[in-house]
Amino acid sequence: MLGGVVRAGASKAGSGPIVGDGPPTQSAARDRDLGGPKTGSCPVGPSLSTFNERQTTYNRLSCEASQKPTTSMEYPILVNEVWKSYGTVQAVRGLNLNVPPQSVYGFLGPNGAGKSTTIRLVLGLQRPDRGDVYLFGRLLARERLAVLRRIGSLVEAPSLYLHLTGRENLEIHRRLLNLQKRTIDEALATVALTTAADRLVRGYSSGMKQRLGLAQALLGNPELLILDEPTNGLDPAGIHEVRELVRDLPARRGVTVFLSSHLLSEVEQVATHLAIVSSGELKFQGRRDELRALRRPTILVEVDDTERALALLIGMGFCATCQAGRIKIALAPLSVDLPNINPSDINAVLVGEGLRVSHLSLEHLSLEELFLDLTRSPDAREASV
Amino acid sequence: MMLFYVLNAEMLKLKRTIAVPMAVLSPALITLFAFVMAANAPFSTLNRNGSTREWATLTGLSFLFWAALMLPLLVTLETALLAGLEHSESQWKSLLARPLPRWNFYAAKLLVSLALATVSTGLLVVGIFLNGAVLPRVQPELAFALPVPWLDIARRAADVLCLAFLLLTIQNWVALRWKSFSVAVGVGIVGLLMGFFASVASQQGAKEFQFFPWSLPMLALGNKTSVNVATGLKFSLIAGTFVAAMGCWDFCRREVQ
Repeated sequence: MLGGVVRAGASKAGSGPIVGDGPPTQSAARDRDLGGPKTGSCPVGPSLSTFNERQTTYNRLSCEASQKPTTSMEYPILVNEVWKSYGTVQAVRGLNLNVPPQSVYGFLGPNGAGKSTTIRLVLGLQRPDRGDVYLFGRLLARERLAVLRRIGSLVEAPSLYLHLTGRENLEIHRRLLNLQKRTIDEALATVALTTAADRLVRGYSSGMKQRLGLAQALLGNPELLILDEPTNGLDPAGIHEVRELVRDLPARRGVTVFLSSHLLSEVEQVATHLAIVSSGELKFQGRRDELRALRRPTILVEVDDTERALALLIGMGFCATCQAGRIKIALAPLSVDLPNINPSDINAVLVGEGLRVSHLSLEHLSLEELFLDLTRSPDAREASV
Repeated sequence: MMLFYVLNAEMLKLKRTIAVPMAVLSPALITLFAFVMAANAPFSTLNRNGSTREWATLTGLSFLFWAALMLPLLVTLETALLAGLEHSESQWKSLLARPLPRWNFYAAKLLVSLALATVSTGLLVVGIFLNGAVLPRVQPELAFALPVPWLDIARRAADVLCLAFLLLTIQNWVALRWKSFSVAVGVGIVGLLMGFFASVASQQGAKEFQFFPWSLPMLALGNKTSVNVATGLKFSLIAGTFVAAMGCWDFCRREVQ
């Protein structure tokens, strides 16, 4: 499993050609994500540039040995440098994903980030313009039917026949998969819909429809479950139920769950691994604790002359912004080995310039702020500096 | 084998839809229409000019309305309904993510539409027999001679059905290709009207108009100006198979949004 912040296009620099039809090896995947010179995006100051450079080149192999697949054959999903566009709109740009077995893999990004497109590519509903998708080590384009047998999916809103009952909806998929009748009862019991099974779906609430969609995906005990925004339209109780179900699946059934959402808070609670995409590009991929380690500490400063202090700090190369009369100085992530900046040094500099400091504190970026920071467009990021 | 799984699922999808009632009601309406006409004015409809070929005339009358109007309309609505089941709740993303060849889904829709058209036409044949049995009781002038020419009637039904194969494959492709119900119905209605004009044009001597998909079924009526029915059958089956193959190819390569 490859962890860390990833820059768009960075993966291309270090990638060797993938020869033949076999999936890329893990070392190739690692090389791919490790390579390439990168440039910072923050426009101010030399040390800031250094920080951004360090941030964007921060890539490292971080899975625990016990969880690390020994070969790429064990990756339930391996997306290799995939591109997809619709006309002039580039929906997915050189995406690389490595989903470890029996993980709950949170696939995060704002609306329009390319999550649903990626899921459609992984399910073979669409074809990539470039790149390959491997499922269980097999090339999807070549062995679609063989790999789809091992997958259950719920893409966006559940696809249900409203004029049929819940049980009949499952019966359609049971017939398609040629499964035993009892699998329907098992799936209904898993999503707690047994009592409503013989009611027409037209009369179901949104939450019940969502649960029936989940039951459809679970039919046939798939090894990989792909869920696109599965809690859409659910009330808090429903969200809790789905969360518990998803959390338990890897342990109970040995299932790998690929869970897409635009809400970090929703995924963060259940995911063992996370990927963050924005504008079709991968911004982060790694374990949950690796994302936490990326939270940047910030120093908040209140002075009598904000404009002068801001100019001074930017001139010194700090990534400083002014928000609501406060100066916010972003430091390097905890996990990046840059020289520590002591808040008292900043205080000394400001006081030395004749500024009166009324507040100075060291704070950490929340995961939510980190997510927003990673998914913010470059323009928005520049505007905020 | 996998096609059987998909067909099996398709049958369940028809439950509580108007697909089967429509397939029953359409021939029933034509049967009733022919009955009312013959019962009220037997000499102007069935034994015209003192004809004693009531079975042949009743069969021709029933199949005229069936081939020219009801069957194309039924095919339009059935194919649109079957495709609409999948379009309405974005079923394709769920179905096509299943480990089944995509062509199975296309072929299953075509086969179910064909089966419904066959059942309907079969019911019309039953309706003709019923009319032949009941009409002499309400109109003593009508004498349906025995034995019943069931082979002739069945052959005529098979001809109409096979001649409608081309329009069925076109409607099936249009209905599956475009999500909008109105596109499929619009094509069917325009085709029906154009078919009427094509028939008129062909009776005026422009024989090539008889090969217009929506007027092809009328070849089975044995109009004097018609080309050989066998030629029409070959054209319908070959062109229909080609359209079905092209539609299937298009369906298999299309991306699911």
